[in-house]
Amino acid sequence: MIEIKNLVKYFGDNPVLRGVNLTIQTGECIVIIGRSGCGKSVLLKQLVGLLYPDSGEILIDGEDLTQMSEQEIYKTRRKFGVLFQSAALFDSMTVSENISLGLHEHTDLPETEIAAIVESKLRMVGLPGIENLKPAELSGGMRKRVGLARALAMDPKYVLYDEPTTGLDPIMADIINEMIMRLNQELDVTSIVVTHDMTSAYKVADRIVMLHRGLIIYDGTPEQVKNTDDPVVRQFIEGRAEGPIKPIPTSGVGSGNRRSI
Amino acid sequence: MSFLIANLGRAVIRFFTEAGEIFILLGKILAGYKGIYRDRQLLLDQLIVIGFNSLPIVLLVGTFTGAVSAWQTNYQIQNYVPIRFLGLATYKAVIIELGPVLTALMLAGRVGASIAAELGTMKVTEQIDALESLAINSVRYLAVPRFYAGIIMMPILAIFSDVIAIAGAWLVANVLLGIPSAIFFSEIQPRFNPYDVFAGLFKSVVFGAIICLIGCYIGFNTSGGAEGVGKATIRSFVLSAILILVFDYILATVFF
Ligand SMILES: Nc1ncnc2c1ncn2[C@@H]1O[C@H](COP(=O)(O)OP(=O)(O)OP(=O)(O)O)[C@@H](O)[C@H]1O
Ligand SMILES: [Mg+2]
Repeated sequence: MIEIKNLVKYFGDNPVLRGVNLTIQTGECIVIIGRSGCGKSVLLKQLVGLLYPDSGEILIDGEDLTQMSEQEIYKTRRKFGVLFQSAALFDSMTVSENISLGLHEHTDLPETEIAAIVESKLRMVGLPGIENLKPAELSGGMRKRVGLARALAMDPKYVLYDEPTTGLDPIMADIINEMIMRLNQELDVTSIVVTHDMTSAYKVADRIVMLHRGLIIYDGTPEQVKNTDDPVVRQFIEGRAEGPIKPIPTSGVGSGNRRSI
Repeated sequence: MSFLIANLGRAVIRFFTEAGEIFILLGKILAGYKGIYRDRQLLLDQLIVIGFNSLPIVLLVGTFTGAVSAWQTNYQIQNYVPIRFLGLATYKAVIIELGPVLTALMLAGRVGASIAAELGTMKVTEQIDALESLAINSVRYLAVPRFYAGIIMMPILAIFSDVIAIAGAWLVANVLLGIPSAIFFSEIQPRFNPYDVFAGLFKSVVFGAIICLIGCYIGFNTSGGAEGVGKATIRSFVLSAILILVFDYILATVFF
């Protein structure tokens, strides 16, 4: 179980998270939606100690990550698999080296067994036989899927997916959705999925939460989300420019115009 | 006025924060010696990248260092000092100063900047985050092998540089200045002092440490995409070059 309590994170004077409270039960698949730049990736990174909150608690199986020693943090991270938004493949390594790095570092498995794991994970993400390619030789969607294979290599208890279906064609996106669901149901993996893709969100989620202006403003099942009359959520899921959500003042058009004058 | 003071204050705070962070990184790297045997493959890779691949440039710089110092020493001492001292003067300058310092400055560009660029790119493309998310300590995995490869390879490269520089000096003395080999080496042999060699190599170790430490520190702290990586590369070179010259002075006062 992951409990996030009153999580606050600023970058300079930019309040990205202003007191996020969220509990994620073991075995659950939770989808986090929210506008670009609202702090979804920042939230995920804090769950594995890649960023430190200004205040608040992050309890992983009851242990507060913010109070842990470096060693304990590394131990906790081994429970997690992380798919980065940018895939973040090691570009000096081949696909197979990317996927097997964790296994080489943390286990004593023989090479043949590691190779078998790499092969099965690649098959799982629909990319069999590309072991010896370098990340630079892959398309964006392929990189994403190799990143996914790497995140799953150690059979983690918790998987954080940062936009798993972005950049994939609809068919491949659905294959990934199916995979997320299968991992979740068959292997009891707890999944935290960040996405803008509502088709994917409705399909995989047990629960959808919306992050807006640094707070969780909505928490419900996919059915509840579809039927909600919360104007902010409606605007987001229907993808309308008009509505209560205004362009984020610190980014984009506003300041850009001012600068160009 | 208060604006100026505030800015100055910020600069001073920044300086001490960075210096502190560099020392913390150094502490972590030094503590990482325990894992060196386990990570010997990583170390070996870096020994090749930092050491072996730098050899051509080090030999080139060494040759010219020796050649120039022989030529200029000859010009400087011509009318005051017997010419048989030319070999000795060149040899001393090369061993205790020119060899280590010029090799280090060359490698600050070749090795330090490339470490900063490589780690900086990994930083801005989230590869370091990815490494950490796999529960792999990025200092252990990236900085430790580079640092130890640096302090192992620098003195070895300096030895190569010294030898070829003296060969270059001898060549110039012999062929261009017409000084017979026997005379060139006549004062070197009797006055050979292992302490000089030790001091020169010790300097190299320190320079190697500076180059790799600064490269790693700046790489790990890169932000701002491709532009940031470009800036990191330059900063790493400038900062290591300054520190090399400062430490050269400090070590000179300690040793001689
Ligand atoms: N390292 C950082 N330094 C400074 N600001 C940052 C940093 N990382 C993120 N931010 C800021 O935090 C905010 C949230 O960023 P984040 O990447 O979490 O957005 P997101 O919700 O994942 O958006 P997207 O859907 O586009 O990926 C943004 O305003 C961003 O500018
Ligand atoms: Mg994001």
